[in-house]
Amino acid sequence: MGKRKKSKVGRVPTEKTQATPLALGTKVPEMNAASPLSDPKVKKKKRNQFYERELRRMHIELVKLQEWVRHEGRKLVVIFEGRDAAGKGGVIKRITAPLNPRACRVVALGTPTERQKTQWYFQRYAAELPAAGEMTLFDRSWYNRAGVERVMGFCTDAEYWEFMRSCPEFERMLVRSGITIVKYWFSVSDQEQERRFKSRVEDPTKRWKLSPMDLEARNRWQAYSRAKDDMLVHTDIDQARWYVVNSDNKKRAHLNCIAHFLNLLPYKDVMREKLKLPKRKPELRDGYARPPLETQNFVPEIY
Amino acid sequence: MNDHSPIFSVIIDAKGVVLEKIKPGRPGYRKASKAAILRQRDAIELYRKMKAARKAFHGRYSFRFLDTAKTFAMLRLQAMEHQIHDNLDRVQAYDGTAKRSRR
Repeated sequence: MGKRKKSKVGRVPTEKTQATPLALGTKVPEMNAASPLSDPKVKKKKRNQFYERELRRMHIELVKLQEWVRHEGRKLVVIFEGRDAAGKGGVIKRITAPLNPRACRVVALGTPTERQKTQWYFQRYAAELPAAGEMTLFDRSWYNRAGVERVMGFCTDAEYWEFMRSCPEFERMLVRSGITIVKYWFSVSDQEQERRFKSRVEDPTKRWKLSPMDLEARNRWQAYSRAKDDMLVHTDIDQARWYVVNSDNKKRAHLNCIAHFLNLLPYKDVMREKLKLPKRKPELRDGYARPPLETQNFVPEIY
Repeated sequence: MNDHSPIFSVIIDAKGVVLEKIKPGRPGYRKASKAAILRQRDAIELYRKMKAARKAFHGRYSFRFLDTAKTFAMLRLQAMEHQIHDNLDRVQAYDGTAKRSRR
């Protein structure tokens, strides 16, 4: 096993306030105003270079975090909530990119089946919770009930209030059983969401992301805001706090969220020792000869 | 909204929390409607302020809508419940090394 020292290299500077839990509704501290990403005078190319460099740095830290989770047998749940097109998927993609898919899973459950509808509400989510050494990222989660289900009328009033009551209890139970829960709310403005929706309509590679339900939810912007406020105030507990990420600017949101996430966890550098690639040992010649290539179906090399 | 709309009161005392509907014309309606909180946001703010001030919350609070009253009442009850659970966590985790399992 490698050296067990606290990782400092590449770690994003932490604000002192982060050591104690942030108050409800506190936004994830944004990048320094002097950061090239927030300076409109800096050319786009420079901004992109800065973004790529920072992301690369954070990717290395994420790998260290993954190794620490594995080494310590930690169980980590990260919840990503927010309106449609708020940028949850983008951040999840950036977090998972350098990680081992066995150690870090993304859970994005669809609509429940008829059978699931009759189960305990948290049942299908509980089945996805991590084992020791694993991270589970929820792209939308049990909070569907307090958001989209409430706004679109997919649950009864009684079911909604039952959720508001039982959710903190459920999360407390998870924390007691050794699971760390981090919850992010991605906050996007009305105008920015519209711009992203338009882009989804126009771009054939993004069209799948847009459903009639998303458009209907957009029509109920205020009801959604109200549901969000209620949800945050009811379910922000010391054991599992909500953190709000300003996601009007995608790149800044990616870096802010990942930096905050890394700073939140007390991970240490437990990276495996660097391996040396040894020379291949000579094998005993047992008369092996590769079969003729024509016997295998090769993918046409058109590029 | 007018004087014909009912007011929803949240009464908090040492025993717990009670929700009550006051119909127009009933005793206390006028007083309750004057102090009634209209917006959900104000109810949440009030709750946060009281929580931060560590006040006991005891008293009668009036709201225009049932949902807002319910939110306020549930938040108060949940705060009480969280205190008990925190206490429970500390007692459960107490291993006898410290003098006592702090309240």
